[in-house]
Amino acid sequence: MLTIYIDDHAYQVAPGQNLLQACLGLKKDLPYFCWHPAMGSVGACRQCAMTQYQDENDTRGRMIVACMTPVAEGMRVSMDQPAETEFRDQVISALMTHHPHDCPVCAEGGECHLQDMTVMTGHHARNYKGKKTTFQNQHLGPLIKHEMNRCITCYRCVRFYQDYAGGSDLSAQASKNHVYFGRQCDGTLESEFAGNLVEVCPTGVFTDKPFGDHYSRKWDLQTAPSVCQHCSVGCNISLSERYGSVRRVTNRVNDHLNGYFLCDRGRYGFGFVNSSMRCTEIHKEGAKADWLDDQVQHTLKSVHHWVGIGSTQMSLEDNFALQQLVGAENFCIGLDEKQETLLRMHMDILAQWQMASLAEMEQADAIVILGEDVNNSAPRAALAIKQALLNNAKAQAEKLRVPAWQDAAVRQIKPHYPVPLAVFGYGSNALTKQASMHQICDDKSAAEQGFLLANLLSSLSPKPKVSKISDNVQQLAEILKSAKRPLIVTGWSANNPALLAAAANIRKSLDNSDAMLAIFPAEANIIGLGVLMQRGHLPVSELPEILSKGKRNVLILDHDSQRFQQQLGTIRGKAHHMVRLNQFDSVPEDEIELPVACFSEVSGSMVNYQGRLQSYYPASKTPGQSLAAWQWLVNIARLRNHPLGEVDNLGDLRVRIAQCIPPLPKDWLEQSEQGAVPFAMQPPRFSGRTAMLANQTVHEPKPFGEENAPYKQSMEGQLSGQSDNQPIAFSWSPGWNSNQSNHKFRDEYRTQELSSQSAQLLIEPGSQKCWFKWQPEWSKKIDPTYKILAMNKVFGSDSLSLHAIPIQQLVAPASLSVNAKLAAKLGLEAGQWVQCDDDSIPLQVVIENTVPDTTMLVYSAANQPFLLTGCDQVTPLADDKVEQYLALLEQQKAVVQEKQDAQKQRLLKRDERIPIRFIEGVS
Amino acid sequence: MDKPLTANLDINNPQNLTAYQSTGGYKGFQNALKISPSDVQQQVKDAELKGRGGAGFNTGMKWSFVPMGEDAPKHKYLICNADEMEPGTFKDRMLMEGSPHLLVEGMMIAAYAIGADVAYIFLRGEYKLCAQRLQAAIDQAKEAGLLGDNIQGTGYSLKLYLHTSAGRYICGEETALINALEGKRANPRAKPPFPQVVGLFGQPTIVNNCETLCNLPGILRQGVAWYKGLSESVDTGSKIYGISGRVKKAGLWELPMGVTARQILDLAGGMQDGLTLRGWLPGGASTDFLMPEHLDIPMEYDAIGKAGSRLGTGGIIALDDQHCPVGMILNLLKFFAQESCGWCTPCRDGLPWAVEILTRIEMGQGSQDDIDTLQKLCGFMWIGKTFCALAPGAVEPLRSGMKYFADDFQQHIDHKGCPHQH
Amino acid sequence: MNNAIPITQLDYRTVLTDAEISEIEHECEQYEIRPAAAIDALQIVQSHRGWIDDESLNAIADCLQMSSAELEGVATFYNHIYRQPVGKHVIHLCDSISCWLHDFQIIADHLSDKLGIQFGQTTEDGNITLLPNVCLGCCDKAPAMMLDGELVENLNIASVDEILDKLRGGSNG
Ligand SMILES: Cc1cc2nc3c(=O)[nH]c(=O)nc-3n(C[C@H](O)[C@H](O)[C@H](O)COP(=O)(O)O)c2cc1C
Ligand code: SF4
Ligand code: FES
Repeated sequence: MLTIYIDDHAYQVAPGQNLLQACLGLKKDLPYFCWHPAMGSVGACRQCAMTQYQDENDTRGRMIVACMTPVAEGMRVSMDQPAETEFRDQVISALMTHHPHDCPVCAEGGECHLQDMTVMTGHHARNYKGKKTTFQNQHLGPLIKHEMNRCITCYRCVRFYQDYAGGSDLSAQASKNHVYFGRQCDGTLESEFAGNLVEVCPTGVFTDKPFGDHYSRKWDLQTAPSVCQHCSVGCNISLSERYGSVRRVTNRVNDHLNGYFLCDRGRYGFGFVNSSMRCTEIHKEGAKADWLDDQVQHTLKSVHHWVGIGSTQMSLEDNFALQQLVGAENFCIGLDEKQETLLRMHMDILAQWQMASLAEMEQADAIVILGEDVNNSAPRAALAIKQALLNNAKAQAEKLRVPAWQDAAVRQIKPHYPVPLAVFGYGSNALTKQASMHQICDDKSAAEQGFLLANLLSSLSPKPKVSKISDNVQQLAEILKSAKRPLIVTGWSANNPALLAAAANIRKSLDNSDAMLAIFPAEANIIGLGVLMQRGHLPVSELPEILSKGKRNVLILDHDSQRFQQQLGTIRGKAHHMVRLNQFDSVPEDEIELPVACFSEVSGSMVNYQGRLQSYYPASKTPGQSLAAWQWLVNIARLRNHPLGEVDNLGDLRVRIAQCIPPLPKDWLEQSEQGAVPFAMQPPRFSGRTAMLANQTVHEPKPFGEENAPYKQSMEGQLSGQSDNQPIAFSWSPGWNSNQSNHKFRDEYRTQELSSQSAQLLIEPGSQKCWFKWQPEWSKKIDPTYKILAMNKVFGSDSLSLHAIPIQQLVAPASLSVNAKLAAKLGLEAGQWVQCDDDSIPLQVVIENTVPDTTMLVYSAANQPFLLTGCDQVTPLADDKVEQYLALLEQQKAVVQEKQDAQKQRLLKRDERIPIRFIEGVS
Repeated sequence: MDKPLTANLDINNPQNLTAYQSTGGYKGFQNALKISPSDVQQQVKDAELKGRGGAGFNTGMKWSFVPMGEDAPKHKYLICNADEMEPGTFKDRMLMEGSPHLLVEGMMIAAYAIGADVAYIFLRGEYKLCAQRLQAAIDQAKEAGLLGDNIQGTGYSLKLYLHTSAGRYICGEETALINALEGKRANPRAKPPFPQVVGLFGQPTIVNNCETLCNLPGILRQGVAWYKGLSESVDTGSKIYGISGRVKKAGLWELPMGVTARQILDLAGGMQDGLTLRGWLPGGASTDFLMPEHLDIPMEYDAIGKAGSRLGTGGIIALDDQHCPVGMILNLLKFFAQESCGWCTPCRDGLPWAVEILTRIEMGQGSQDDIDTLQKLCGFMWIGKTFCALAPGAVEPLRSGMKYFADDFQQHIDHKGCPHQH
Repeated sequence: MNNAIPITQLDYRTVLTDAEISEIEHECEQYEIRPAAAIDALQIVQSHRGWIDDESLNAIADCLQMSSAELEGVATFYNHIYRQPVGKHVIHLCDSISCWLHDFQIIADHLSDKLGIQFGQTTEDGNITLLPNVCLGCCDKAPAMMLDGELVENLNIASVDEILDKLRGGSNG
């Protein structure tokens, strides 16, 4: 620690940071704009000015900008003297000369960093007498609204978009006081991280469009800490509600995972909770029914054998309750055979190696990606990997005595000090474009190369039955040996366990305790199911046989994916009774449908790719008759006098889980008992709470809440987020209404070495490590002439987010990518519509040279499954069929538009008259 | 006095390679090749050549920060700053039009001294004639084996390219220039790292002014003692001084360092008939006003500094008594506001603000509090508060103008109009 | 469903001429990376076409392997890249200090009057564009202008009239 003097007071601060960071850490109100903890300093806005003095006797000092000044032992600075306070006031005055002062109609109002800074500097009267400039705004697509007149030219947007996230279609244009931030022309922003602009922009230039369409001020939002449901990373989010509908998702800082940024699937995919497809009532054979109906009760009480099918889309608690109710031997985890194999292997690897967190991945200095399109399957992780590519430049900068947070300098150095990134796989994305080594191959040869690489690194590592070692692999072995923090990444996208085995072998072959491994499963809570699976389960391969024994009842936890619909087909018909616990209305043949709450309405826990247990809390109340799935299961248990029926509340259930799955983190169990002083989910300024129902009742209602929950749906309680392990509901501190308040109170920033995190992980890696052998079945040749590989997209490959309207607007039609060679051979042209073999869906041809020979890459949205894994021929679609299909696409577009309007109307209507039962204490 | 910069300069018909060589051209470069790069650096350091781009930093010293030797990066760059967009400055243009080989030779010497393998001339786009003549000189030198691989068997190789800018004053700032040469928006870069270590394409880079580089052939050919003897002042060598405005014969002269502005004004034949001098900017638009009583101060870095201004580029701009000082300052500030790169707040938003106020004052719509605001804006854009030196430079004529011509400002406000326009 | 994949990929070879491409390639050789030639390339294409339209901008970006947004940022930064059509002739009148001291405003007003356009505009017949320019480095021969790249110094009303006559004659004949 260093001692520095600010306004003649001595403070202890950590070395290596800049003065602005240090001041914020000391909880001082030093205004700033262009600095960002994840993006470093560039010194453009000059807002963070302070005065530095040579020694005690220096009374004049010289002005510095804090964000560009490293802290140094004994340094003397001031922040409250007239020189700097006047200058900081002038900066704001100058920034505001052309600002439209349109706060009342601005979606940023009430959580605007510019508002906060204006107040903080004391600027309150306008001195500039000239005219204001007016800019033209651009249409940037369904996610983001553009209002350039509010710009204060801090350059954060382009620095995030281009430099941090690698986007290329947003730039700084023009110059002097006409600088403009936009695209070359109108059009949807291409980066899958564009949504972060909303939070990165300190004023209202980039705002959340869907939120703006159904808007509420931040101070009127009820906000709950939550966890993203759309991939296995498990980014931490804040969910905000008003009048019973969820309005938006914002980033919730988690230093280990998402840091300050989310991907757009996570930010905009939550809309499924507001969807009109939601199942909110009990149905029997498609007709509305009641819990007390005889037939319903009769079915649920059935004494015949029950089989349960779990779901990755439901919480650990829900799946646990199901496993309890039907018994482990009757609990099928709801994955297909291949995925079960993958899960087994994943759990095996987790028991040996701890997976790197995103923050750790950012520290890598050599990266190997084996057969996984991380950018599309775990987007936020790809963003973390991209940051690692700066590490060698940072090290070189430090050698030149330039601190790593000098962002522009580090980026100038970067081209000459690259971090090796080797990609074995297919398809191109933002990450592969940055690869220093890109071997185009299918998943099988990626796995083979991985095995070879491991074998080169350690002769003990089992060899696959392949002959040739590519030069790339030779070279890579040397790189990995000399790297300090090598990182191996793979995932489930290719459905190939060989990849996982290869990655684990490479990890083991590296004699380096700082080497890292990260494997990304296909969906959010898969590892949660893996944990339950280890307590016993019914393999999906045995399901048909069990069902064929007759009089078997099936209980199915919500399953929305189309892939599962296929399986369902085989189950249906064989089952005696079928009971489904659904978030979305499903097909009527199912005997009984019980409406299940979404993650935004109840508490629950998920387990991410690392085995990290994370909980979410309800932001709004469950609609209609719906309950948390575990509550239905408890109710069913009561009907049957099953011991699960003794569970009273979530805390009870968690205690039971803890008895079965040690070791569970203590605070997870205690969360439900923390109730002494709960945390408020509404900010102190929440307005009109008492008037919300005034048109319906004169009683002042009591806000609803979960029993014993640590978060309360009211503004009474304490402010969360200011102690280390407390998830924040909403970010706020006095004077800081925007999310920039997150940047205060931070002792450690992501850029610095983070403390160990194993305490939060559910699975402790053991000291025994083993090699994975190459399995003969991995070498099996496939029959069809062309192998078909599945391609993921941020928008489209996740079924839950497909129910969100903005995502629907962004989903691309199905496509078939081939390389130029194969295209020429098959006579395919880019843009052409084709079908594989006979009956596949129409696919649009893309010529993409990162597809291996004799291979085709097919993308289709999750609600339009494409199940072929190989094909012999590709036939052009007849002209009339193309026309029909294009017309259909047009029509779908119109339907989405209609749905958007209808949903908005529906929700607006609801705002006017909230169902009274929404609030407890009113009958 | 010898005039190493202009003795053989012919603006209409510049020397070709042979003519240039016949008057001793490229001797300096040959001499340099005979000694080690560090010896060349030492000679230039000893000659105490100060950069002619405005800041007046010791050139040899600047070079000495470039990493040398085996471990140094493979590529290093030398850039000639020939962007010359400072209003009132036109010396580099004359040198390049009239003596292109002098610059090419100077660049070879500098490039050799720092071990650069590639050199660029960053030329302002409007200087079309310069471009033609420089390109011809480069081609001739290449043909003669003075440029290219393994120059004259010494093992030293150098490529020299001409880049024409698309126009932007900030490109003259050395780090912005580097960005411009990389094909980017010309925003300045933060220092450290200094370009000597991390410059063009992330490699060690020296940026020198055109006139600075033109001094090198003489130093290498005739030695340090001779070079120092050229000067009449503590600053060594000769300097191209110029004057413009309403003088009888505006122009440029190579003179010993340290002559006085009065001598320069005399060379120009004094003010035009019927006009008297009200004030002058000693070295381009971004220097503080000096008054007639300062005419006898030597035009050297320290002396002009003590008088409250900067030697800058040595291009004097003379304000006569029939032009309005407020109007002049407005014209200058408009230039700077227009040319702000838009990176940092004080410059981007402060300069247009000053222009807005000055415009109103000039039109007779100013008020007393406008003077206050202007004064505050001067502080707002001063050194240390902005990202680069553009805005502080812009403030220099404004703040000194407000001091020396306070009465004129007052009259504009009191009489609601410009006394110079009737 | 609105992002159907673009059917045809832009190929700069179909937009830029061989001459333009070879000049651009020549510039590219001078730099470590292709995008560094952005400003040169813009100037080259502008010298052939008078200004940079969107299509040319996209083609240059493609040729230099950079994004068109980034190239737009560059193109709009520099004073002498035109992103709007200009006339057959372009007059750049210096408006900086030495010319101001030589009352360039009289010349400016005269030009504006005679052409019937403001600075920043082009005559209706598309013949002449009138633009201001910062100091042209002709301070000793003020006022000055740059006409189609050539410097014209020591301007006065008479010489301006002569120039305009010539330009108009040129366009007629
Ligand atoms: C806004 C600004 C514009 C400048 N313009 C020029 C210029 O046109 N020509 C030049 O030689 N130096 C210019 N300079 C100075 C350069 O940054 C740099 O100091 C100079 O090229 C160094 O060369 P020297 O050491 O040979 O003087 C400018 C500086 C600033 C801040
Ligand atoms: S002072 Fe700031 S805005 Fe002005 S030119 Fe320099 S960096 Fe750009
Ligand atoms: S935050 Fe320090 S200059 Fe912008």
